[in-house]
Amino acid sequence: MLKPEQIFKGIAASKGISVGKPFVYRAEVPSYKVDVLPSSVISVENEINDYNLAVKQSIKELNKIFSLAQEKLDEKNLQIFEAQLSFLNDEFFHNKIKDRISRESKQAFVVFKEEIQILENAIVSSADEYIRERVNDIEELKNRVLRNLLKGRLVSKITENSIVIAKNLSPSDTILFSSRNLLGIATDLGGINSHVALISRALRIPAVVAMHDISLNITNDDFLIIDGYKGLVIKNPHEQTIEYYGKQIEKNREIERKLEELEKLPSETKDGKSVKLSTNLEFNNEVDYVVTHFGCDVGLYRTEHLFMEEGDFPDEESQYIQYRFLAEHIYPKSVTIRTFDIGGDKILPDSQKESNPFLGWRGIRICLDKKEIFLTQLRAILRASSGGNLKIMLPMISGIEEVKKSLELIEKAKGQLKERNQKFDEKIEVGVMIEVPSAVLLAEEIGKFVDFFSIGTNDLVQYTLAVDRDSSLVHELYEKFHPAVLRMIDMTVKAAKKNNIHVSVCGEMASDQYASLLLVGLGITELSVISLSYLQIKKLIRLINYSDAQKVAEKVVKLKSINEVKEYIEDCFKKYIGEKIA
Amino acid sequence: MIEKVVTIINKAGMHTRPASNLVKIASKYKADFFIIKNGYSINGKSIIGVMTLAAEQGSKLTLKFDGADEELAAKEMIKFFEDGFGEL
Repeated sequence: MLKPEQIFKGIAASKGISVGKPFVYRAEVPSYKVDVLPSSVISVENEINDYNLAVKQSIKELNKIFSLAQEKLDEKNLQIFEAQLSFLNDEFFHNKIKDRISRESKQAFVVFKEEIQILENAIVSSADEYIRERVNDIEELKNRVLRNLLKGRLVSKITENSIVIAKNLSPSDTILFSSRNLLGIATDLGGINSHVALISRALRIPAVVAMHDISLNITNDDFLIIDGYKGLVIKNPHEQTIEYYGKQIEKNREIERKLEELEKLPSETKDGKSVKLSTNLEFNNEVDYVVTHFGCDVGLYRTEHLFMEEGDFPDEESQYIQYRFLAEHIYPKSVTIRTFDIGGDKILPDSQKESNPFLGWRGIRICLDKKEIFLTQLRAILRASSGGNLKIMLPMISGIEEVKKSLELIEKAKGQLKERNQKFDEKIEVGVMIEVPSAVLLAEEIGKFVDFFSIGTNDLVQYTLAVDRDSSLVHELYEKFHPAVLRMIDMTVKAAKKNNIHVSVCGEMASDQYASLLLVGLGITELSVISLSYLQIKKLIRLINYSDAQKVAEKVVKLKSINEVKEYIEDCFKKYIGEKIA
Repeated sequence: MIEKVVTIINKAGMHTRPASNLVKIASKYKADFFIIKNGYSINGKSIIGVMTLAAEQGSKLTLKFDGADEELAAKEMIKFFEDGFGEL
């Protein structure tokens, strides 16, 4: 019998259409659906080895959190932390588990779960409430070890060419997935600018987010179509549906092919004004594509994933190798490296999470607190800069002090390299992200100290409008065409002009066709876009007259409401461009 | 071998922190250290074992020390219990 077709709606987060089998990923439920194998097929040696590695990795993670967060934790949390570490260092416990694995020929995760259960039962049976509450500490520890124990297994189980379905994907999950060939990603949670969305676009695979409960409604036996244009996932599609989508895929290929003709043409307006177009880059496997197809600068290279992948801040040498790789491959074009922009929510333990991580310990704040980490990264960038094609960009700057302190540290890093007789680009450009409203208001002053601005529109919108872009309740209020946002950008451009420095936009806004017309008109000198949108934006730039764009921009900054702005921009788009280039 | 019955007197009982300190003390000595509660015996150098006792205020525990430095170990450990794990 045919299974009925079912359509799930969500928010389109990354363009594209794929047809294929799902892989349902349940990372957040600790009761991993991992098959319990019969003892006859179990390799005791492998299981013990896996267990040792998982414990080692868990200790490493906790130590990392500990070393970073020590000063930020209060006494109580510090103790919980130390206790967790001492649990992990309990050789008696580990020996018991390993002993049972070999005697009973059971899988490590089965024995581990049973032993933790015994511990939890004992604690829960205590008459004392305080002791009973300690179960939470053990639970956190259990999940950490289990996750590490099953991580390799889970990822190796993901079939290539599948559509990943999940409740939510953490940055580290998405990074694990990025190494596989995926057809698409659909998640229950997340917004258009969530990490899943950003990564899907970088990897050029379709994604649909905010699907509420799709992860509960799909099993690995289903067959799916994911439509990243309309934000749909179709379960067990009818033949007509498959046929329709087959045609759509053909059509899209045709559009792609036409866009590729633009690759060799310059990025300049109809009236001959050149607009620098560069791309954002996150993964090494994007490098070849960027070099062969675009041959452009990299306007934003995020370094957070180096931290996520390693589970620790990578040392100078491994960072140097990575930055050197980029510098050499992208040469003679340049790469703007953004220093670690990690949120405190990524490194603090659950019990110490800030209620407001976006207003908390993140970005340059962490780097200036943890100077050694920052200096290590700066030395690695500087060493890789000897070819003269790297730039440093500082995230989350909110005032002059942070700029000055950062510049001092850059000078210090240079001094350290000189002492070591290591080469670097003496004149390396240093710029700041403009993404906090206070930095916009002070842009004229900040501009005196730096070589360029780069406007991070995602955070600028979020901070200007006080809207959490990942909250499904208020994400509709997240509006880049808010007049306040446009005026912020206008102010930044003017401040840059006064200081005679460059100003680029590297946020999502640069990749939006309506917005890019406006940004060019406002006087932004460089757009750094995701590679998926690169050619479309180039096509658009080539369709407009700079003089028209300027007129549009001049008028727009005087408008007062979102609706006025949107209507006006849509009208202008029709008038000056005439065709919608979807 | 030394055996001694002790009572837990601090209000919060044997929770994570005292358990962790207890293991630290026990591990300083060569002597084996076992804790017995209701006939159930655990290795006192294992924090997870100690947590399994889930001993609250008023619990009576038998401490057993066996080894060359058992007297020193017993002395420090018993004092630790008498001090209410430093939480009085």
